[in-house]
Amino acid sequence: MALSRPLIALLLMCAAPTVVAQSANIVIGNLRDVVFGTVAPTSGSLRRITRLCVGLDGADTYRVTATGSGDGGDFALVGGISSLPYSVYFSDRPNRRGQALKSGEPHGDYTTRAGIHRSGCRRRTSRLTITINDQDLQAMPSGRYAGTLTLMVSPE
Amino acid sequence: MTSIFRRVAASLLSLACLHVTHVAMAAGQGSSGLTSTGQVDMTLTTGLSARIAGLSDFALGTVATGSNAAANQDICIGRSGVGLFSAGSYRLRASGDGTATDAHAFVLRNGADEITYDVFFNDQPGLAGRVPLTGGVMLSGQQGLGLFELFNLIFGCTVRNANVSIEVPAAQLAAASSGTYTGTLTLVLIPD
Repeated sequence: MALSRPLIALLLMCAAPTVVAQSANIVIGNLRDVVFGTVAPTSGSLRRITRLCVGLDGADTYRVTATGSGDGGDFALVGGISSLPYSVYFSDRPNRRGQALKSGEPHGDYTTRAGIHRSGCRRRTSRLTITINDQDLQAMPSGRYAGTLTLMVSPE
Repeated sequence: MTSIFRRVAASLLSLACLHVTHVAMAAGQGSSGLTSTGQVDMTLTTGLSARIAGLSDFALGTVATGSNAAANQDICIGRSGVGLFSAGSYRLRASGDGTATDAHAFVLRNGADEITYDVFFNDQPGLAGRVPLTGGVMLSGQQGLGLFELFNLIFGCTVRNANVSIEVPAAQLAAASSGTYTGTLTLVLIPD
């Protein structure tokens, strides 16, 4: 018995596998505040390292976008009318400094270990490095400087 | 006879005496989702604590003309931000009561009469190695041992690790009329 073409087409549509778009989930955790403490203007360059966790489920790589709390999202600590710039480096390995980030710009191709996302993201998969240049520090008047760095991660 | 009383007010002008204000901070952890955002708070305080201690008044007493009148005292310099066995450098500036032409001049007064005097500083006890100061001008490159400086900062005058001395030249005394001359010497310490 010969099947009509419309019937064949209908049967093929029913047999096709159903594809459901799955969204990748990501989480960032294990972050700690960065406290430089009280430093002399002549302390030289300062560096603080935080090892943090990025967990990814459903994708291979992720990107990071960092934004500071200075004017226009600049990486800067603010004290009164003075602004102390700092640099941000991010690595997807806990023992590497990684690349310098630019405020507001996504930086990608980062990877993380499998299963981190499901385990509550308590491992230290990545490294955040904050540096302050000695000349910038020397130029600052005495005072207390504070700021917030926001890190947004998203799957690629 | 000229009586001269030199008084160093215990002017403990400690620049950059800044204390960290503790503000509750807590890094913000991201939650799982299509994107995840975390926040890190950062703080830094520049400036160091400094302390001059162990100062006492200079009382030159009643002096005769014909020779210099001099006095000195060992004092305590304290500062933070230094290692126990490293040298903690600092700067020091001295100012006197000033004259019409020099606001920081080292001068003693008795009414309208004035006597100028010289001031010296040494970054170790005693007079050997002291250097003259100019009123209002910073003397840089002074050194102390970090251990003693920290003791002096925390506990007050524990180890006398510097010296301040003054001299009234004989020529000034000879030209002065009799009376009691007083003044104030102010020291400002700035840790490097």
